Amino acid sequence: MAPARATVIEANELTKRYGRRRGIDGVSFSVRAGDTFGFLGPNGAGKTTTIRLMLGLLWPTSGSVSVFGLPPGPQAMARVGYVPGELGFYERMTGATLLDHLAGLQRGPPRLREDLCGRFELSPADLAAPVRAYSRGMRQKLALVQAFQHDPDLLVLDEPSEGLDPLMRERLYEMIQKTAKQGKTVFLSSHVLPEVERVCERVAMVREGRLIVEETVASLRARMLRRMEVVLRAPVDPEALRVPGVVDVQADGRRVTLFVRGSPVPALQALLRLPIEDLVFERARLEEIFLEHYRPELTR
Amino acid sequence: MKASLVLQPLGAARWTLTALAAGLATLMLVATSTYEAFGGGQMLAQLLNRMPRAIRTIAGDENVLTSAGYFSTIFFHPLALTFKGGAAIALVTKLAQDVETHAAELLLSRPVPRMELALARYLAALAGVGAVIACGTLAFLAGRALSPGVQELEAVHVIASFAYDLLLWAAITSVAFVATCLVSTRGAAVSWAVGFAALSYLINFVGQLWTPMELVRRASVFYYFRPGMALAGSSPPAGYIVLLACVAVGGVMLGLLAFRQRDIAG
Repeated sequence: MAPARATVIEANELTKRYGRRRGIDGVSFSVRAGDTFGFLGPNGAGKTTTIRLMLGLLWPTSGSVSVFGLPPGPQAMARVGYVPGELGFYERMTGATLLDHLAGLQRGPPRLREDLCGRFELSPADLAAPVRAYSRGMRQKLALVQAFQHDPDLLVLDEPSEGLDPLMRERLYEMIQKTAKQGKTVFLSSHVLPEVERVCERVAMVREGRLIVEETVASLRARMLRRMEVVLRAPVDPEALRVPGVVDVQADGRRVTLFVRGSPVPALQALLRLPIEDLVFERARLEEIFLEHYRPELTR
Repeated sequence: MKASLVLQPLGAARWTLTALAAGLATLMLVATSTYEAFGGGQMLAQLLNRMPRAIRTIAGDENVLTSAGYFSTIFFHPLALTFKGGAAIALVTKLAQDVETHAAELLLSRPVPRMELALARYLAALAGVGAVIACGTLAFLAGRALSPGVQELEAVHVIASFAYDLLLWAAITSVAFVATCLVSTRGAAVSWAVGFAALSYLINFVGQLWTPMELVRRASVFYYFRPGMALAGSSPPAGYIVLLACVAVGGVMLGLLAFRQRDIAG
């Protein structure tokens, strides 16, 4: 039996109010060592508030959060690398000086810096320029290097691919996957759903400050309604396809659309008895899951 | 404490500090080297006697006929106040700027305790004001060496007067520090800091000008600053020094507690 993995982040009924304004309300979740945890939600849902509570930048109104079993504070932060959603760099510093300044505040040396600068194409000439001369993408690369450079055990990434070109995004995803393979933990807050789907094993979704889902991407997909489009050689009675797992069947001549939830095996077995000409069965995408959860809000 | 937390704001403000220090040094050099050419305390007294009382009051309540009284007025010169106040406010409000620009998030997501960050920013401000005042002291001593009339002021008393001035500015910086620990924008921190310094100066000024307000002067930190006494070599009342020190230390403690308890979000 595999040993139980340690809990890295534990939030219990975490609530934050800003006066009368809602921040988050009773959010509970846990992230274990080695998890790549996606944190999803529309703008203003409470993602950044949750991150700031985890990092000890905000005080909770009620509830608690721990990081590596400790309350958020210097001891826990020694093992954290953070990419903030809003980058607050010292504009007059050069990139290299800024990285040195931030590395100097860590307990360990910035042993990954050289590799990261190569991976994200930050040349010595780039690093010698003042930060105020950096483009949005360059700033984001600098944010990534400062977060990863001391090889932290937990990475908290708030919209980390913002401003990056597709090639650099790819490098970021590779970096996250490599980090996860080393047994480190990644907490990724994003609204770029394909990105979360690509790198995360578990996701949590927040809506209006409340956690509405927390489970693995695979189990979310399994619960999703998926569309199976079949073209038959001749029209058939759609009722013959109403087998377990098939929620609805729509027939239009030889074209039949099945809406399947859970295992597709009974539906496929029923179809095998029919003269199939073509079949398209898309896997459930996180975007659809996301929209299913947020549709009431989006259509309001 | 990480030295870089103190050095970073000093490095960022190095040109501002250089300009302010050069300004104060020039003022001190001009004031001391022109003492005799100007006609000393006699001339200043004659000039002040011809002026309206409100303007005379700006020079303070020292006897300007003595060299100690004459030079005590330089500490209240609007330019001197601007140079020292500029250094204090430019640096002490850096913490609020860090919160406003989200730089504080990057710093505090590292093993840096909040109180350490805030204390480092206060120490940077104190070091900045100290550097400006030290340049003023050196310029004063240089001017004294050039001007025999000023040499009746002993160098050690000159240094003690500037140290006393630093204590006054430590107290003002501490009150500004409390404001900067509570607000989330540099603009608000600057407003509170300038407001406090200006109000304190005004209370002292009005108290000197208008006898019924004499007692209210005690609410101003400037009331407890008597550079003329220090320059003359007679110690200012110990209570005044203790009070300024208490304001300085109390302000820092209060600011640190406020920064520890607050939310960090720009």
